Amino acid sequence: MLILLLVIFFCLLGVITGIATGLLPGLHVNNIALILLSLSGAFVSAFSFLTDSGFPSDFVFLLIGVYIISCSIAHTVLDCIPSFFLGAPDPDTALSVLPAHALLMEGKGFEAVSLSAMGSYGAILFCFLLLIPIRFVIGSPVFFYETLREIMLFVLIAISILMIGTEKSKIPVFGLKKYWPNIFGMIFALFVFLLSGFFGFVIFEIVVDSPIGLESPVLFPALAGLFGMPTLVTSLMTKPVVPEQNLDDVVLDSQTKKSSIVSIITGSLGGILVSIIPGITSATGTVISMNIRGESSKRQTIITLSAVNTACAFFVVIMMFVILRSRSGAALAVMELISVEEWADILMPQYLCYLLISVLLAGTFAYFLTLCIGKIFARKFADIPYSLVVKLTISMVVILVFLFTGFMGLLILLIATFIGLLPVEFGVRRSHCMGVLLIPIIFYFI
Amino acid sequence: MNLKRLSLVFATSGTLFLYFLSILAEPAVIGLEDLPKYEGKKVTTEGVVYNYFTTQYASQMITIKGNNTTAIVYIEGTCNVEYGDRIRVTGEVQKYMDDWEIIVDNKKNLEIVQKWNNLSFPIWQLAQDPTKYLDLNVNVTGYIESIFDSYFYIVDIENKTSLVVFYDSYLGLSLYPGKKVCVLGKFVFDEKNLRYALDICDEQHGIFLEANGR
Repeated sequence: MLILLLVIFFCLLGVITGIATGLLPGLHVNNIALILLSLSGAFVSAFSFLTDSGFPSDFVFLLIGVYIISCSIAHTVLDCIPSFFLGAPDPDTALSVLPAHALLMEGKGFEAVSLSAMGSYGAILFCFLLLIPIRFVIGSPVFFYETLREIMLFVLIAISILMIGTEKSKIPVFGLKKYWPNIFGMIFALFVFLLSGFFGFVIFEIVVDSPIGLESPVLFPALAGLFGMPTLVTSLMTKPVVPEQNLDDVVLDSQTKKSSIVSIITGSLGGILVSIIPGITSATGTVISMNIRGESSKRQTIITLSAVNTACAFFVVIMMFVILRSRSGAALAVMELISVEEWADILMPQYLCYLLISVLLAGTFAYFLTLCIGKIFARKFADIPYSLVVKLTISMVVILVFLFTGFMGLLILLIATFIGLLPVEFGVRRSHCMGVLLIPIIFYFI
Repeated sequence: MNLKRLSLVFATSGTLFLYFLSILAEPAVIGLEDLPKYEGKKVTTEGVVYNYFTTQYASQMITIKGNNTTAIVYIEGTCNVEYGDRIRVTGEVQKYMDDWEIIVDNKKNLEIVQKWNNLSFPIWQLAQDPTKYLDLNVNVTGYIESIFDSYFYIVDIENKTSLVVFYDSYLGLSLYPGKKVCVLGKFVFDEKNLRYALDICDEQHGIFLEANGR
């Protein structure tokens, strides 16, 4: 009983941290996980009293894992609030900015948040239903992952082509009309993808050093620069006039309910795919899901994207135990802490049970908190000193990057920010910046 | 200059600048004993393959030894290493449980510096520090001293040190005392007789007869 109480306590701590990080605009969940990973040594020291009280050190590591996973789940559910209200989306929500902002301009910002929370929570429940079947499909006896691994190179190339081929932005060049702006949009998307890929190769060859002796993940400044900073920088330059918001609870008609269920199912399946395939993000999963789904109404796009995000955060936990691979910063952090036992039979490993309890609890807390905080935001967001919040967040990211990766990290952050600004300024999808991981991974499989 | 052009120019030139910087900044070349000082950093180091196995998901864990220190090289995919090979790896240093690991993210960052069977040791060198070579493949040259059913003794040219070689007599080799042989085998400890021995136990192992005898 005490063990369960401790799991719940650490889950709550994680949710509280997730609320704080999720509400800060432009901070990606993977960056949070990388920071938490670097601080895991400090956590272990801070909670050493548990080891002194007779708990095995493995269990203390598990509790820190529970904290990290709960934080990532809460962050994933809550980060829609700044992205919808403050116009500072993170890379995974990049596709939903337009639909959510459109609702915001109609005075329905709270509805957008409610739909997003519903998509996320629905994905958690749907993922629980799929838990056992997916385990058998991915692991033994079907070994889908093994089959996928053999053709991973082609899968990754196909996904890259899909991402670039479905780019719908139009870039007018030399006054050419008809289909040319579309073609230039795709060419520019390809340019961003390749430049990010080259950048990825380069940064993995560079040694970064923390001036205060912390672990130095080179991906931290790169991801913060590619996905976090550009939105912060550009949002400082925009001052949208937003109408008064409607705070009524969302009531869905039966047709929208059915449509939402389909969005949650396709979004969750997209999220599962993202949790298996290396180097792709939720935005990629959403493109795949929306293409399968074939409907692109504002509301359904928001639900699908949130479902992809949360299903991915859920299934990376499962994949740690089924394919013994980490597919997110949070999973990487947990795998560094605990010895992961493979889920080879019907009964799942004990540690996975505890982590799933924390996923379910964190998801439930985060759902209700999102509705609650979303309502407060909708009512009070005109009073929020937005510009100050963004400036403080930029300062915080710069300080953190310096503390973790030193001057070289700052240089990486600066260049990554300029690369990240390209899609924002030219209007193509920001997920093309995931070339930073995808291209090195493609070359790895070659 | 507007932000569009500024980002285009700085993104491209910045990445190229970083590329040239990366060429200049090579990872530190260290001995295995210095791994703890480089936790979380990329290094290049060398060691002799002491053990290796392939995981269920086709990753390879290679234990290397050098300067009385052991480390594990983790590499996704498999490399054609053998016991006793000297390898050079470049990767990130991590501590996993109580072991130091070098995470090699690309097969190109693992290089076999010397194949175990290309380097012949005199018997006296094994005798000087036998634990250094224990459980490794070695290539030893010597002269046959005496022959028995499933083993024979080899000695160095000064007749000072001898070493027992376990072999399969069905190999049909024409062995006789005084014949110079080159033996490729695993250097093991024969617990039963409290002695070190060479064991011909793998398909890469063998006995090669040399032209000159004594």
